[in-house]
Parts: sequence; structure tokens; C-alpha cells
Amino acid sequence: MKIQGKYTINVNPERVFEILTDPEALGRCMPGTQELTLTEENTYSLAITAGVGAIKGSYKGTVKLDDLRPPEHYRMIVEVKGKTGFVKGEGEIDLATEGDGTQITYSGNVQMGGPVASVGQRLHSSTAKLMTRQLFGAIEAEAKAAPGEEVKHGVVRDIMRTVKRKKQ
Amino acid sequence: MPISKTVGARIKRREDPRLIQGLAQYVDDIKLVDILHVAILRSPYAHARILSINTDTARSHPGVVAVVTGDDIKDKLGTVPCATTDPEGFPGMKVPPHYCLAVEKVRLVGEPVVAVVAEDKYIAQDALDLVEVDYDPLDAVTSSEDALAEGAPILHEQFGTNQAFTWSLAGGNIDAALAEADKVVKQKFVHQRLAPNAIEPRGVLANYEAGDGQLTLWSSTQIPHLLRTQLSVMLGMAENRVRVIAPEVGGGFGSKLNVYAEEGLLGYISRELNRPVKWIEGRRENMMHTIHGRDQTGDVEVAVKNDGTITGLKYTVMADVGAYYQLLTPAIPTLTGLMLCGCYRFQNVAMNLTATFSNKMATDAYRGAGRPEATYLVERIVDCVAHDLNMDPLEVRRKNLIGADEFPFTTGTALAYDSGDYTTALDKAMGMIDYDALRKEQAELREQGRYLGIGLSTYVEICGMGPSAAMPAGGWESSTVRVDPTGKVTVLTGVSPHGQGQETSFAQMIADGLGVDIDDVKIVHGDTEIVQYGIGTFGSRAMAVGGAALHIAMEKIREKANKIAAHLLEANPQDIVMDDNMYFVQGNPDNALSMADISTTAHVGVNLPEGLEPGMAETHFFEPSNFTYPFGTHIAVVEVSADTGEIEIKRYIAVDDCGNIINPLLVEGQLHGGIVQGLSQALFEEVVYDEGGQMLSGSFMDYALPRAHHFPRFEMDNTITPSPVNPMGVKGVGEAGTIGSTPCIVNAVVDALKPFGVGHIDMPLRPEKIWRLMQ
Repeated sequence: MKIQGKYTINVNPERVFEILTDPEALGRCMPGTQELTLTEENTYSLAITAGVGAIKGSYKGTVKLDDLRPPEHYRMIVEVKGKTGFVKGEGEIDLATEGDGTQITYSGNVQMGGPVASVGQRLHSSTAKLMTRQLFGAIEAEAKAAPGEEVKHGVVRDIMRTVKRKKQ
Repeated sequence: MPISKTVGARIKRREDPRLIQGLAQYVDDIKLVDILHVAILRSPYAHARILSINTDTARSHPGVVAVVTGDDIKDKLGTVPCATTDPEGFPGMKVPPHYCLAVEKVRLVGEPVVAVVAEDKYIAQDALDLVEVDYDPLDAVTSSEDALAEGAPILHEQFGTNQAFTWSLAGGNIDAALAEADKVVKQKFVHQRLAPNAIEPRGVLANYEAGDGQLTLWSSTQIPHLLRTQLSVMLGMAENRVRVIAPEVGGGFGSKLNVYAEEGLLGYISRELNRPVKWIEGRRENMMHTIHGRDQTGDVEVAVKNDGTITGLKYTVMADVGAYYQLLTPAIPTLTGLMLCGCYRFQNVAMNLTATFSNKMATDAYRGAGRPEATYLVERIVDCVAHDLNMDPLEVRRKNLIGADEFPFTTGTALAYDSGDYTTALDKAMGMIDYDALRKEQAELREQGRYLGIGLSTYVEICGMGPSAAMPAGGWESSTVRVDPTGKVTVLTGVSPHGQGQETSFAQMIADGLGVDIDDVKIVHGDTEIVQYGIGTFGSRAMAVGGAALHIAMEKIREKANKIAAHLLEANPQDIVMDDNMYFVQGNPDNALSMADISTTAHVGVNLPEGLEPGMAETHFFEPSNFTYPFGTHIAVVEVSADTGEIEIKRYIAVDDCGNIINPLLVEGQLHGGIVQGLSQALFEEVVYDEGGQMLSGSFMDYALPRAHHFPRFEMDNTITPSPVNPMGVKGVGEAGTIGSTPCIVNAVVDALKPFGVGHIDMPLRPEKIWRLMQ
């Protein structure tokens, strides 16, 4: 499955890049993340839960960042597996200044296998879209927060943020 | 066979009350003390090397009793059998080992890799998560074309190729026919892959008892006896120490005419642990790892004369048989070859088949098994001929149909059609519609931008399987008829019905033939310890072959009853008649005996004719002399929406001939279900794998099954041409609907789209595909 899209965040690229490569902040932002730990330079171990249609499962694996050119570009390689199958993905993330904010452009390829691939194929791209929106929405909230402020994320927050953005 | 009291009557299925009240026992309903549950870890990869399997954590999980891998079983448990690998039939065939759990490599998504045995099924499922398998993924092959491409990943490396086998068939001289033809009509046809989807998935319960060294295995199977033989080989056990029971079986459609890895595996695990073990297949497992059907792609060329006479047909085809063979995998496309002449007269025919391995589930028998493919391509190409010659499809058919006076007819493929009257069936179906008026309406509607289509299918199929000489493992069938001292009758039949209704139709035959009440007849099947060896229920054979065995065993009882009655009534056996359930000397009905009177005498044993054995039990093993060939004409009237591409079936007419009919209600039921399944292939169903070999149609959200509202009320009638092959003159009806209906609806839709220059559309006819063609 190919995924691609654009998302604009009202925060400068430097700050966005910082969060995108900070395991603690990123762990809070990525929906379903249970654990994201730096294991070696630019490599993290990841435990995550995700649901596609009726298939809800937990996955474990690694996230690797590569080709890092702060604050404008990096490549992300994700490999996770669990009882409900495996997910392998590779994507390019580009950050560009747009006014006071940042336009994030992402494109990549996701490969899925096992039960997660066999069920609700039509739901995959919408699930990917939803998760991406949740991720970037959370990053924006994280970036705007005052230092030390605890930011809450989740489905309800995401909906509230989306509604707020649409109003603006 | 004359219609008497019950035979020929619309008697409701006697098995239904227990089924609809939840009183039936399926495998999962059977509970044994100390039972363990098995869950199976399946490959998420279509093609990968297994680098390592770590089962330590799973083994130490509380409640887990054992964890079994391919390495554990590869030298101790036989491989999954294939009955059709005869080198004479398939020279040069590659036969890969098919372990019950993957060894070294996995070759399809869903392949069993590890079995976890636990105290309950939830623990077993949870523990699957704790097994770590390290795979090295390999590129996958998902079509015949890719399989044979240069540099393609090889599934079974020892062969150096993905070509599984080739097979060819020739009759007459096809090359001469094509060379001499006025016109050669060509079309490529794709028979998409289908999933059988029996309402009850598979399930196995195995119980090894160390005391007497006996394994009892309950399985949702169509072939308990064949399974017993194969299990004894796989497990290295004496066959008389293996008992297979097919309890209530919730449908099969051919998918349970097989021996599966899980059956061998459960037998093995139970014997190792000396405890009963159960595994019940999930719906997603069923989609992935119960056999699929069809998956042929081929080119048809027919030689025709300008007047529409077909002189020959050539079929060059690739069959994508999946990663491993199941029981009958290689045989299925050969059945397509046998039926390539359809109900037509032409004698020049050839088929060249190349079967290839791919990273998909094995194909095998699915309702019709090879014959729907034949009927589809024959009936479609006849319409293509009509299209190319600008003739009416009806006229092309009339020109080529074998006449009623030509039977027994030997086809170009050397089959001897037993009996038939194709024109009468066609005429009867045409009589149910006003063809000329429909064509006129079609022309008028086209003016208004509405698209009506009329499709025909005049099919013949091969059933009543079959003479043993033409079958991989016996084609005969068995029956025992026993009468108790009190006159109640028990039938032990070697067929194993699972929805066909033989508990009703066989009882009807006994009620009439022996003069007993239908409620006094019990039909027993599916337990190899109780029932004499039999072959099973498939290939529309239960009545045509199993019923024939029953009929002859019953005749033996009847003869004995006549002898005893004659003795008691002091007459000659040939003067005994039976009427209204009483036996008496012709002309003297006042002095009559019931079957109970006669059977009591037979069992008491003191007042029997000189030399007659006591008791009342007879067995017959029936060997049919030929297959049977049911046939018919189906007509579909459809309207295709120009706005949405949706197909509305406005009318569906089916005139079928399955020979004599024991129970019209059962015959209609089989035809209804069959027609729906055939139409569903044409309109909805398709198993889809992506390029990586991942199954994208793994649930009912993605694999479209039909619903009642998709279809109109079928308008049905029949003709009756008795078969000379069995004493009842029946032909079999289990697959007829599926075989006849698929091309009928495609022909109708292609006919509707004629104004758009459409000459062919590959199935399934999804609205999106149709709509694009109309733009």
C-alpha cells in the first residue's frame, strides 16, 4: 500500500523535527504506542497496538531513522510484527517552512502480511490516514505546549483538534 | 422406477427438525473428559525460509501442555496425501512433500507452522503470541504466468521449476478442423479462484486410547472411510485401530472431500499425549487454508462453418494449483478436459494443460470440480460464435446439439453419454418465456437507453462418480439393509451425506420397497466402526451410486421376505405381492403379513424355508458401469443499469433433467443452492491475493457471498430422461445448478452490453467493471 500526503503545522520546522526525532515525545504522539525506546543511534524498539476493522492486535519491532538532514528531511523504516501479522514500512518525510509553520510532506510504502492483511483491505488506507492525522495533530499540540506542560493525546483529543482546525 | 407411495413425493427432510432445533451434534459439540485444545500458528508470509522457531516461552506458559513444530513431526507423521499422482496419468509430475507443519520453508499465507496444545482454547490462542518464528521473507509467485517467468522464485527448489505437471487430451483431429474451418473463433477465459465457504468450518477431535491402541477421530468430512485409510498410513497405525466419525457435517461443497494437515496432526498429538485433543477451524483459517476452487486461465479456439456448425474445440490452459497438492488437486482440471464437448456433436477436440505452483492455497474439488470450467467455456464460446457470425445463440445451439436419437453418444473426448434429450429440455425452457417478445422488448428498451440481456446455457455434466476404473480410489458404493425382529429397518450407507438429504430419500426408497412406514427407517452413516467401507459423498454420487447399492441390498431383503412370506402362507415366492405395507398371496389380501411378522420369523429361526439363512440383513457393493450425465437448459433475463453498472436478474428459468426423481423437494433444494452458487461465481465471488501473496479477501467483508435478495424467484421445471446406469434411473443433481448457471448469466450480461461492442467480460461481473465498459 502506498501512503502519501501533506499536513501543515503551525510550528516551525526546527521544533517539529525535534519532536519527530525525540522518542519520548514521539512515543506520546504516535497512536497506540506502548513503548518507544532508543536502542542505538537513530534506532528505536517499538511496541504498539493498532486496530484495522475487526483485527486489533499488538505489534513489536523497530523504528529506524535514516538519511537525517535536520530540519528538512529524514527517512523512517518501521518493521513490526505480532499475532495478527506483520507491517513493514518505509517512508520519506520532508519538512518545509510555510509562513510561520511547517508543511510536512510524507510518502511511503507499507507492506502488510497475515490476518491484518486479509481483513478489511478497504479499511487500510483510511486507517493509515486516520493514524497519520492523529500523529501530526498530536505533534502540533506537543510543539505548542509550554515547557514542562503535560499534553494529553488520544482519540477524543484528536477529534477535538480536528474540529478546531476545521473551524479555523 | 414407478412412483409409488413415497418415492416421487415431496417429503420434507427428516433431518431438519434436529438441525433447526439445535439438537444436532457437530464436531465442536462433542465433549470428552480431559480434553485439550489445539491452536495453530500460521505463516503470515506467502513465501519465506524459517530461520528459527523459539517455543520456550510458549511451553512454559501456564496451561500449555505441548508445542509442536515441523521438526518434531517430519520423521514421525506422514505427509498430507494426494491420490492423483499416478505417473501414467501425469508423466513427469512434480510431487512436493506436504508436511502437516511447515519444514524449512513456508509457501503460503496460512500454512500451519506450530501447534500449541493447552488446557483450554483461550490459553492455546494466547500462547500462539509467545512463539517466536524468525522468517527470511522471499519473493512470492501468485499467478501461472509469473510462476513460469524467467528468474521466478521457485517454491520447491528441488524441482528447479514451478511447473507442477502437464496433461493433454485429444480426440479426432483438431488441427485439421481448425485449418479447414470457415472461421476460427477465439476467446480467453479466466475462471477465478473461489472459496467454498461451507457454513460449518472444518473441525477435528482426536482421542487415542492407549489401553486398546485405538484412535477415534471425529472430523467434519465428506469421506470418513477414505480418511481412515489415509490416517492409518500417515500415523503408521493398523487401519482397524483407527475409527473415523463424521458427525453432523455443516456442508462441504467438496472442500471436505479431502485429507487435511490438521487431521493427521490431531491424531498424532492425541497419540503422543494420550489425551483427547480438539481443533476447530476459524472462519479466517477456513478462507486461507481450506481448499479453493477453479483458478484456470485458458484460450479457447473453435472451428466453425459459416452456417454455425462447430467442428472442433481447442483449449490451451494454465491451472494455478497453489503451493502443495491436496487429495485430488491434479485431477480437477482433467475433468474440465473430459467435458469440453458439452452437449454438442463435434468430435475434434484437444486440451493442453500446464499446472503451476504458486504461493496460494491448493485448489481442489469445489462444487462442480472442473466441470463448471468446461461448461462455462463451452457455453460462452457458443455465444461468441453467434456473436461473430451474427447469428442468434439459440440457432447456433440448435445446430450443434446432440439429438435424442443419437444416444448412447460417444463424445470427442471418448465419454459415453448415458442418455439425454437436450432439445426437449431446450424447447421446454423456451416455452416458459416468449423469446421473440423478449427480443422485441430488448430492442425497444435499447432505444430508451435501457439494457436488457437474454442468456442461454444448455449444459451437460458428468455425475454419479463413477466407475472405479475412472476414479483415483474406487468409484463403487456400499449399503447394508437390516431389519430388526420387530420390523424396524436400519440402513448403513457408505456415502456420508452432509446436507443432501439422503436420510430422507433413502428412507423413501426403503418405505416403498420393503413396505414399512418411513418413520420406521433409520439411515446410519459416517462412522467407520459401524458402517461397512464406502467411498463418500461427492461428485453427485450419493443417490446415483450409493442409492443404487441401497436399492440392490433392499431387493435382496425383499426376495428373502417373499420367501419367508411364501413359506408362512404356503405359496410360491413368485406369487407373493406387497401392497399397503402387507405381504400376501396375489388375490388373497385378507391373509397378509407385515414386515414385522416376516422379520420376527426370520429372527426366531424355527419356521424358515428349508436351507434359508436366519436373520434379515443384506449388503451390496455397487459398481456403476458408467458415469451419469444430467443436463438441462437455463435462461436468464437481466437488465444492466447504465448509471451504476448493476445487474438485475429479472427472470431465471431452469429446466433440469436429473433422470428419475426420488424427492422433488430435495431436487429443487439442490438446484436452488447450486444455481445461487453458480450465479455467485459469475457476479460476486473471487479469492484475491496481492502480488506479495497476501490474501486480500480473507473475511466476509471482502469476499462477497450472495444473499437471498440478489435473486428473483427461480422458475423451474424438469424433463425426465432415465439413466440406464443404475436401477433407479437417477442421474444426480448436487452440482447441476452450479454448472449450468454461471455461463447463463454471463451470456445474458454480454448480450445486454452488445450495443457497447462488448464481446466478453471476465467474471466476477462487478458493477464497477460493467460501468466502465459502458462509458
